[in-house]
Amino acid sequence: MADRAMFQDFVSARSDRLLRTAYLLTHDWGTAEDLLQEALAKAWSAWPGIDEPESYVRRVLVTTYTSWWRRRWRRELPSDTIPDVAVLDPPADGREELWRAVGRLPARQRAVIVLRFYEDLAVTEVAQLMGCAAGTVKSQTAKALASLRVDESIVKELRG
Amino acid sequence: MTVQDLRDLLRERADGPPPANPARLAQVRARVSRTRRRRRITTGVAVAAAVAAGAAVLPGALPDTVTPGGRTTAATAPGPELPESFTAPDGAAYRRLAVTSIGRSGEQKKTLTVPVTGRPLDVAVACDGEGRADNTPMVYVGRAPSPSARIGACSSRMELLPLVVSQGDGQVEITFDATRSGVCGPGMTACDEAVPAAWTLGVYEWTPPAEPADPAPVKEFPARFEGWKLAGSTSGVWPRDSVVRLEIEGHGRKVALDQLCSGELARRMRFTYRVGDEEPAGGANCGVWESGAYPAALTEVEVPEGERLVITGEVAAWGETTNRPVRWSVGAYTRTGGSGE
Repeated sequence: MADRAMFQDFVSARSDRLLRTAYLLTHDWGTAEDLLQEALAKAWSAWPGIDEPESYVRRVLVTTYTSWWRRRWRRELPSDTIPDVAVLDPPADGREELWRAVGRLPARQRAVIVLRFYEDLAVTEVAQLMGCAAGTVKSQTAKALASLRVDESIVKELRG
Repeated sequence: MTVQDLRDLLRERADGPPPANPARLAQVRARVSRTRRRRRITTGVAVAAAVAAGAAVLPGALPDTVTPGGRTTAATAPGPELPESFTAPDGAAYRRLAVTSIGRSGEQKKTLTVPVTGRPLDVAVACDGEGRADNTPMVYVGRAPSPSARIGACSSRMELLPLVVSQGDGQVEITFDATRSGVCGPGMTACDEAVPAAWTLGVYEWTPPAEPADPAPVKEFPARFEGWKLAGSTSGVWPRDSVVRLEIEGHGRKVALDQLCSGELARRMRFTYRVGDEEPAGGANCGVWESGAYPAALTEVEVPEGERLVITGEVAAWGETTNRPVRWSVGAYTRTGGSGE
């Protein structure tokens, strides 16, 4: 059980790390801050009953993100960047294009990619966090990697 | 592309320094309070509605509403909280002198009277609402609009802006006015829309760090950018280096200049240039490139043909910068191709 007195220490020590995950999900630091604060506020209410605060907040972060995405699909996301942000010529190694492609993935696929390849969580852990079956995580990962045109052999391996 | 490339990309994008937000805990607490208040109000309204035998409850009737995006937009309630004191990443110690809140509805204009002790002053702003650049209040020092404290797009992340005031009077009146937007003017129809937003605005005085912090390196300008080719660049650290000098090949085509900075006060820097015989109007602000795409803000200048083109300039900062150096870099681009366009 987490003590409410520890909430402040948790925010100080762990929120920057969670903010990075939120940034990978939203691709915008301002929206990421908003998402993180929403997740922390929800966690505060449940805090006395939480056994593992970080995994709990991460789960709330991801579920809040996917629910926002569902509701925001036809409206512009708030952004702290200026409207006329420059678009880079695609660099030779395609990294910028890959980043943009990650940003175009549907919310659940993007969440799976971030959790598996940034947070390094196992398929079963991602499934538990997202409240779905391990097979769903595998199929979402395979679809996302195919969209990103990431290594075909890995895609096939995950499908199997 | 391999999965390892994807892993590397995600780490590269996320593992840069995230924007500091010393007010995060206070803002989360405020969010919790707003949620509780909203639940109480919603419950009360629901009960009243039941008593009134089925009268419809419109979301707009509530003091706080939740937009379809789930973001709380306080129509009349105060915006996010600001901390009483905090230490910036470079060691500067901030102390809040006064705080207030305004909104697009409810009280839209407030004036604070703050003491002037000789320590530098900053305006801090955090906002709950739509993140649009044309949805920002104005800051006045006395009756004059502040040229240094220009509020950016609505964001829950606390933003600090330099507040330049006269030292002579012992106190100064600072007015925050949301009855008009900072960048709106005749013909800008988007500004006619009253976008819901609530701002918390504070005035802080700060004590410089005991030792100057070393600003992070500035990313290199891209070699090519949307038809422009990097012709040269130069860099320095403010306030030690306050003069820009660059020499590039002159082809008679347009030249474009851009500047990038790092350090806590990076966004306060201002650059003025002379390119050959041309002096671009006004000054240019400094971009901060920590992650994502190159945040280009090129100033274009027509130049005559010539073998060598000399670019000179001056670097300045809004407000105090004692022991808070800023690393800067200036890049000069020329048009690729032969048309000059």
